[in-house]
Amino acid sequence: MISRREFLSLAAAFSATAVLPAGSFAANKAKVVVIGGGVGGATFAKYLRRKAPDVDVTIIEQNPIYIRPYGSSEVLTGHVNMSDLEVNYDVLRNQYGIKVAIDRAIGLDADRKIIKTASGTDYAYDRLVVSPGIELNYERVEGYSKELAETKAPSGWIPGSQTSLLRDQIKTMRQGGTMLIVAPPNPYRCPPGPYERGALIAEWMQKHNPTGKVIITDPKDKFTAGNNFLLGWNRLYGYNIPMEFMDDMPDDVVEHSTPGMIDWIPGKDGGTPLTFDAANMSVKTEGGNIKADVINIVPPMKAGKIAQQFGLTNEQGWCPVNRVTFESQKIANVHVLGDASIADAMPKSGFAANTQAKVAAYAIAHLLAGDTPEQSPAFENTCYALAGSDYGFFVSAVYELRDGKISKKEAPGLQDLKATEAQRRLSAVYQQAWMKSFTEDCFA
Amino acid sequence: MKKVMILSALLLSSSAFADERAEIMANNCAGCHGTDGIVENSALISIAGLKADVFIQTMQDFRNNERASTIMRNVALALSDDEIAAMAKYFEALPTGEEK
Ligand SMILES: Cc1cc2nc3c(=O)[nH]c(=O)nc-3n(C[C@H](O)[C@H](O)[C@H](O)COP(=O)(O)OP(=O)(O)OC[C@H]3O[C@@H](n4cnc5c(N)ncnc54)[C@H](O)[C@@H]3O)c2cc1C
Repeated sequence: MISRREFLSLAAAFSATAVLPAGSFAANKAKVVVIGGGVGGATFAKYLRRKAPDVDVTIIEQNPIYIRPYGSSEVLTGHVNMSDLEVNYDVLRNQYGIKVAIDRAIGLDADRKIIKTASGTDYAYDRLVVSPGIELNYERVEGYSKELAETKAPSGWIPGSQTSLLRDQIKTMRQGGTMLIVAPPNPYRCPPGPYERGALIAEWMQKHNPTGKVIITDPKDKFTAGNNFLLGWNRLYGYNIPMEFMDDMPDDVVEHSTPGMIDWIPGKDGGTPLTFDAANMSVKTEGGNIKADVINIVPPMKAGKIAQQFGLTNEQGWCPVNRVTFESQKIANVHVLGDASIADAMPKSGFAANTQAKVAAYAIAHLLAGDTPEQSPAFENTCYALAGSDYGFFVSAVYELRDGKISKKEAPGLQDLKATEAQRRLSAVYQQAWMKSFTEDCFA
Repeated sequence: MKKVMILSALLLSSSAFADERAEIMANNCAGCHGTDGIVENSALISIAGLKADVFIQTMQDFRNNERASTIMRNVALALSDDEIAAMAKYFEALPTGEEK
């Protein structure tokens, strides 16, 4: 028997108008197509199939194996290998009956509700979900480019060959060398990420390159869980906390007499990066020139390219959506999840993408059934972060809709600066446990 | 203790809460506590099948710092009593790992 997909591609081959509208096929199954089998797309597909088993769900994902970004900085210190980041689609396919097409979405016909892919296949949908993650805008740092990121100064913010290149550069750096991390402007994927990366590398250097140094140069004056990081750096890497961050610090903060292994230059002190000089391996900032042996640039970012191509983005490059259904405010019947979407108070994190995906799955199940979704959904974010392998803390919040916007519910959102050593250790243990439990909730 | 009893009483009257909202809120726990509240071979614990009064008491203890935690104090403080009660009811009804 010919499958619907084969039929569609055959039909497309004969005539551009031969594709049947989604609802009209024999079984009359509703069709949902998902672009991107990352955190948002995979979670969405799984939870939609659980909620509405008779909906036909197809994920279009360009890579046969997903390389998870969360936890990928741990590759840089050898704590995990690249292969530990790999996630396959077997359970989604075999247990949940989700079709996973390894293909790249390239075109949208929103009127006829059809997605076109690189292989020449057309996919008809009743509802389209787009969760393409981010696009890195390398060129927004003058002198930087994708090519230089792949060969000379990796970003590693979408994990892959840049991640292993960066790992090798750190490993072979001369003793006493400097690693420079260029932090991005808001908003960006994983707000604590650049600072956690710097801390993990400083910890690695304590063992393998004790005279080495990590510098983080930053266009921002503060960052997520900043006080927790600064305190951890003070305790672990001899960092001196600037006066303006000393307010709620515990008593054991010490003033170190020698410079520590880690330094952070905020925007107000000239940290804003201006140009990258590949030949001299240096970054010119507003405050001056920083020369380094290894340079890791996390460039400004936007919603994944396909969201931009489809016309789902605003002037800033992110996708405005309805906060109940995640339906695009630009194109009807198209929904945007995860990093690419504008979710107000929620950060661009995996945890956020995962809880948005579940809310959207339930909402779309209702829409396909012709009724009304729950109008007051709830979301959550929890990001455990590390200042060292045994030194953890977290950002966490529950969110609800207020005046049509996703807002944080009133509660403390960070680990107390006075947390005990046991609590910090436990946060580090949970950080590791979460990598597995979370991957299972998304992909298995 | 008194608070717990008030919360338990809410269990009976939580029908004002659409079941689906409880389910949506419970889904937010799954990233750590597993899909349907079951997580295996983990430092994190399964919460499927937990008795509702135990769930409520535990959340109270997190809130009041009577039980040490990492994120759970903040989560418990962010949730209202009715939300906790609705989630307690939801998780109590889920089969545990052994029952599944
Ligand atoms: C160093 C680092 C550490 C992090 N740590 C954490 C953490 O501790 N906790 C946390 O919650 N989050 C963390 N994150 C963030 C988290 O990984 C992302 O927020 C999350 O992956 C976003 O999910 P998404 O679905 O939006 O995008 P992704 O997971 O990136 O998925 C997008 C998918 O779409 C595919 N795709 C794109 N375009 C197309 C196309 N045209 N056709 C087909 N497929 C396409 C891509 O191949 C990809 O598989 C971290 C990120 C980094 C970089």
